[in-house]
Amino acid sequence: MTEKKKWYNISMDVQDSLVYFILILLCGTVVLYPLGIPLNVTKETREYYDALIAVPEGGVILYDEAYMVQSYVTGSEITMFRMMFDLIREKDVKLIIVSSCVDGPLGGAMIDKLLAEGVDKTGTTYGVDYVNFGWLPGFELVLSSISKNIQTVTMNDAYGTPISQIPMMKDLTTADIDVFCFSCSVSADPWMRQWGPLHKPILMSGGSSLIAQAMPYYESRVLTAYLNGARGLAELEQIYGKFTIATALMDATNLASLYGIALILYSNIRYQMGRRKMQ
Amino acid sequence: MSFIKQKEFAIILFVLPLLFLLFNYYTGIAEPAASELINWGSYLWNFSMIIGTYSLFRVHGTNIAKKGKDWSYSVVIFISFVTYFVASYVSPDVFKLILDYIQTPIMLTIWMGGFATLTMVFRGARTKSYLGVLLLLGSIFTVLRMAPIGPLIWPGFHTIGMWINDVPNMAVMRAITIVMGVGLIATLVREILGKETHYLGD
Amino acid sequence: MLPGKNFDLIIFLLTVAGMYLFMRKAEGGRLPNIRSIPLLEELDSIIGRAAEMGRPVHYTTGYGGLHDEWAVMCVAGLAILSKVAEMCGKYRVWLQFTCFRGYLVPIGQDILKTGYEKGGAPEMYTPDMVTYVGEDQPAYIAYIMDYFMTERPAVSMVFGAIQAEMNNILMQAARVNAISLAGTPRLYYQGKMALMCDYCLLGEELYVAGASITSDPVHLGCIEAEDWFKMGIIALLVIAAIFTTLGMENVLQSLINW
Repeated sequence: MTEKKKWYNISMDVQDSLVYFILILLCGTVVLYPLGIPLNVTKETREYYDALIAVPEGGVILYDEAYMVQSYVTGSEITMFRMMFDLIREKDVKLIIVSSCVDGPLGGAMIDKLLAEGVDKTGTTYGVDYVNFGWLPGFELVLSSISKNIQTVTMNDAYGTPISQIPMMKDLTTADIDVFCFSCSVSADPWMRQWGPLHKPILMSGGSSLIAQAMPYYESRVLTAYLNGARGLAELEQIYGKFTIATALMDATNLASLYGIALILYSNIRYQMGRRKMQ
Repeated sequence: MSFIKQKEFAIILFVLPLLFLLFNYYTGIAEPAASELINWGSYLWNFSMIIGTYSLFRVHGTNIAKKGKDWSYSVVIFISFVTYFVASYVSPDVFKLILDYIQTPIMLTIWMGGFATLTMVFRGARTKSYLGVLLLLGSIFTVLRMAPIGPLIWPGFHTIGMWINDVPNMAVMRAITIVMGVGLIATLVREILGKETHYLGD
Repeated sequence: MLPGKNFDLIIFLLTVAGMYLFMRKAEGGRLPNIRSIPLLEELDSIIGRAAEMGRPVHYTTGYGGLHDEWAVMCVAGLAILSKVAEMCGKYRVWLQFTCFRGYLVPIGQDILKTGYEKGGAPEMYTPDMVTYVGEDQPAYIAYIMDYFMTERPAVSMVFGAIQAEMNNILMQAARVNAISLAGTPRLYYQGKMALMCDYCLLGEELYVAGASITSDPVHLGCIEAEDWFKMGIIALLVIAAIFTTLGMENVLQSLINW
């Protein structure tokens, strides 16, 4: 006698397709009909914001853009760039942008995209207020070069201009850099190893799992502050007051998180029931 | 010439700069030379890309010559490589077009971070022991701490999630970081003493 | 000597001296006693299972190479590969090694060829067993996912410096009901491995597995030295905690900054 096929015993591919379809449906729905769930700004994001705006007048910020491809598409770090350009205008801060991204030249493309499409550059002059080194190969070697001597990191900037001809780089040393910021898609260890001994404020932005790995550095104050993944970027927008894609993604994050948990519970309950049945 | 081909020469070539950098790290002497040596590391990194390109061409060139498995895809690899390479130098606009409309969507599709994670937990995350249950509960609290909706459902998610982050997570991360560091030091010691030869293909 | 690095240098020199002594001790025949690692003990039966099913074994060392900070992990992964290749030769199972770095191709081919010869099946080896699709992570992931779906390996092994490809590899292994074995000291993946894999090497177990597989006295001596070094670190932590509790952290700080 054949066992009656249960309705949920469908093929694996269909199961997976169903899982993905429900996810797309949930996330797509909130794009059309935002839930508007309130977002609390955490102490950590507040620390990041305070550390960034605490750069002294005429100070220098170095920003290493080493985030991953999702950031290239969404441009979720636009708020940080806007904040830094506001600091250029308000406090005559100098900005050095570099990318040591392990994903390759995508890092440089991310910087170009953010500078071209998202940032208001009025009142700033390239070469005087900010410089873009572009993507540099070598990853930790680039970080090590930065920590030793900023002048020897690269011979030309991202647009081929020799560093010696860039006004803001004249006589600039690593010791003159006041704040080091980076966004990463890998473990924070290389940045901590190379920049930690400089005893300057280091600000990190990365995925929440990478932040979890960097907690020992935060606890021992080698890492000054961090932005915790997509939520951290959204919280920064809350503080800054202008909302972009990072905030828009929060509703989808909410639903996807609940959905993921529901899937885990469902699959484990089925597994345990199947085990009991076999016993 | 024969000495250059010997393993000892490769070890000397590896160990001497290593010792010099260590010497510079502790004494601060010869800082410009050490900086230049580190820059040469970047240059060598670029050369390793040439080796990678050569390997890619050799593997897929052989596949095309022998009309091996899926050799037509090897042809696609060659064409894509040459197009991308030439475009990056000759036409930045075409390069950006390829990056924005071909490479990035393909990368995002392959990553499928959310989908892969979902399938992974749906198919493979089975709690086979009490520790597994504990692990899953911890992950649920951590996920709901990060999602803005978590504290709205129950404020305890944030409190317990932060405790998990600040106490057990911190302890484990510290322990594993120390362990990794110890492993790195051990490898460094073996390399200095010339006992580590795996990088030579042994 | 640069200020602030004297204490660092003393610890480093003591470490080097200690490791050298333990290596010499191991080379002299007094090997340390390594506890059994479940994964290594089951490796034989797992590959035997692949042989019974007539399906291949897939192996990868992950994202890292021999030139970056993850070289140590890659080296340990290659050490385990040599043992796996020998076992695959013994059971006459196809072993597919996918590497992320171009220079790993000749190294991998060498290891597999030697492994199959030791296992008694030199005629099984072919250079096609090593695959290299470029140094782009999505391409690497795409190849592995495709391999899993088309060839449906019985065993998936990931040992080395793994990055985001772990998600996709574990996902595909779960889909084709392959046994998942993984090992990496990388922090991010400890939880995933513990949850998803049938057998895993957590943290430093990868290095230990690499050393015990090759039975290299130098490596084994280093393992013992590392354990003593860790004891020393724990002792320092306890002393630091006591000093800090007593309000004497300035003493420690001045020692560290000496």
